[in-house]
Amino acid sequence: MELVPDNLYIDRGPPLPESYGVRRLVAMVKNPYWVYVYWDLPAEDYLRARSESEECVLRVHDLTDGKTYEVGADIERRRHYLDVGDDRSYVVEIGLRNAAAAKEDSWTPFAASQYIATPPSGPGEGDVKLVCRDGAPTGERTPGRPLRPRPGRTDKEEVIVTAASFRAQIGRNDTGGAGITRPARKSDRSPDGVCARPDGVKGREKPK
Amino acid sequence: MTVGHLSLVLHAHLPFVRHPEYGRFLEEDWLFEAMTETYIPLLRMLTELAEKGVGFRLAIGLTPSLSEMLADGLLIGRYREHLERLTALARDEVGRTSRDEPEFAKTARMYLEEFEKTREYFEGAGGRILDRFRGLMQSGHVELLFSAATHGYLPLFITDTARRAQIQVGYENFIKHFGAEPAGAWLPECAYDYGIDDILAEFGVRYFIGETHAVLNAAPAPEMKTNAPIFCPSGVACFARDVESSKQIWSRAEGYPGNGLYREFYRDVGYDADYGRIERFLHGDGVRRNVGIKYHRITGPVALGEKEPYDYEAARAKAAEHASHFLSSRAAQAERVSSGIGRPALMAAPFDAELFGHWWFEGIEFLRRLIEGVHYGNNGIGLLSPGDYLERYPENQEALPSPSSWGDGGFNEVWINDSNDWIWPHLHAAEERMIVLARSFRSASGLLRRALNQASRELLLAQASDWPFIMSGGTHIAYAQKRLRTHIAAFNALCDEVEGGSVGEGALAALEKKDNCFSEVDYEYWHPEDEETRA
Repeated sequence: MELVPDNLYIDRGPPLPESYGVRRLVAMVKNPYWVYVYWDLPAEDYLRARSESEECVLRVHDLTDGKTYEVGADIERRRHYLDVGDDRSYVVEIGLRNAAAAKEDSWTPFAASQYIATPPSGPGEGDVKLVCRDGAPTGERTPGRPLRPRPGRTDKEEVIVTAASFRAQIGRNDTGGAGITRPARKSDRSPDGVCARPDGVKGREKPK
Repeated sequence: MTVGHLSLVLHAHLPFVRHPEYGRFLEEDWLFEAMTETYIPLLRMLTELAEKGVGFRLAIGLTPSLSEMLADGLLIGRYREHLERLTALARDEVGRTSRDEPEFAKTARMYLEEFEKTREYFEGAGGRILDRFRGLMQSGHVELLFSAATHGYLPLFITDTARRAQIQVGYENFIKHFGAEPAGAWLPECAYDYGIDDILAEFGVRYFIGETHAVLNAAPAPEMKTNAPIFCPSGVACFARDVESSKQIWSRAEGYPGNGLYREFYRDVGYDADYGRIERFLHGDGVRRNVGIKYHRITGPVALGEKEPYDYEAARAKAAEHASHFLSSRAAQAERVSSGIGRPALMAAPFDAELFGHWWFEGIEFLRRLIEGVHYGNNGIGLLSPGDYLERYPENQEALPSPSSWGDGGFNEVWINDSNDWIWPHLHAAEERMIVLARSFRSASGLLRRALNQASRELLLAQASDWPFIMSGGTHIAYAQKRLRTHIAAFNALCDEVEGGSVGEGALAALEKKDNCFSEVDYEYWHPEDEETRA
């Protein structure tokens, strides 16, 4: 079987599938103020969206302050740029809104995105601490151990909520924006006697 | 007394471009130009200094896609031919200019001499210049950084597994080429997102280089700002780009490389010479392009046609002046900062390696003078690699870096915009399909294993950050689109075969021969072994 005939496509490469036969919505951070979303839906969804009475809508759930708002989108474009706020977490849904129907029947969801977090656009809050680390980081390999990732990672699901799960893991308060309140670590203990500082430079504690 | 530590980090990267199916291929010139103008002159300069007994410590990152090309027999052979053509042209030019254009004759002789030295160095290394980087690492002059396999733009991947696979292939590729564990990581495009440091920690990597606001916008806000690294909660350190030092080099208005005495990049013999004379040095399409011999200086804000003749001696003297200015600026900066933070200020200065020599022709001379200035001078600035810094200062502030990149705008906008956003559905679908296949086919052997490993290579090649970067405003846009589509299509075709239970040996072998990078790749990286043990 010929995998990809080399000389058929001179210019911009072979055509790629228009759809991967899944039902999904993916949100991606472009910068602190813009999120890109794209979707891949079954043919019947696009068909249904052509009906007069329903409008394709992106529902944006701002998890930081618990608000939800809706933005109209062209379902056929399969992509949209959303105007968002910095240092916030979002989940986006795509579906149809029927203006004529009773409120509870007016929403037909098609797909929901994973959680995403926009980056902060300014410095974080809280007091910074000095920690001492003499060797390789926590996930270190021991010599001779095969190069395999350590157990206990959180990416069991195929679509991983890296930012949100990371924040959840370290105890970031997504509703209050209060900064990081992660559990104390061994390395937070006073480094006295742990670190040899050959040049004699003293670490500086934050003034109280 | 040391008032400040300068951490110079040079990041060498090119996408994997290798086309055995053609005799010569335009985009392979990217490698050849970078070798002639940057990598070999840099190695020559560093080796000379080391032999003279000048002490220095630099950090250099070589991406796996570049290392694979530098070690590839076909490309080494083609570079040899390229260098022969270039030297022949330079010889031709020496004769012509001394007859017809004496104002360029000195420069023409300089090129010939440079190319001959380059050839001598290249042949002296048996064509394997990677070994010379390794030598400088072993002699303690250079700290080498690894990077993700194809310089994939990790924040925009959709799974941690695929991020980890890029990092793991890169890590193992480094060990394959350099026989040691890397000191630190060059994150492609300095692009950090929450969780990437966790993956680095799994490999025991001590640090990565981040963009300025990775640290300035960290939580909590580090008091020492970018004048010291921070430790992520994972224990991996983040060294952020120092704005002042990079501005002196990058700034359009104030940057050194724009000085009127320096060589003008865009005025090239490939365009200026009589067509009949230059034709045999061009590609098969006969289109005029840069060939790498340039006789003019930047001059000032004048049209290309009005540029004045280049004088390399004056340009080198200017580079020495700039190096000395750079050093005294660092000393002044460190004086200002150090007392406030209670230790000598760190100034991490990461640059694209190809800036030096390729874009800024005198950049290598600038680096030489800078290194000599530190060694012989006494202005309180020392060169310290990031790894050495952590040895000397194991106590640092702990904070969570802010997601960021060193691309235009500081976040992901170069890699998601109207010109390239169409690629992500394909890349994400491929990422997930690879994970599903790795999960379905455990410990595959024979043809099946080869097909799965080749699918991994095609996925990695499709993920190179270069394709969306080029689409976002470069030249060669059609080539970038074609590369991305070709790798995704090859990936999908291989997966179809694997799923259909019949792998065709002929087509697979052809792909293996063409996209032959990363012999160490293992499709099971997309199925970390610990997954099974989870509930």
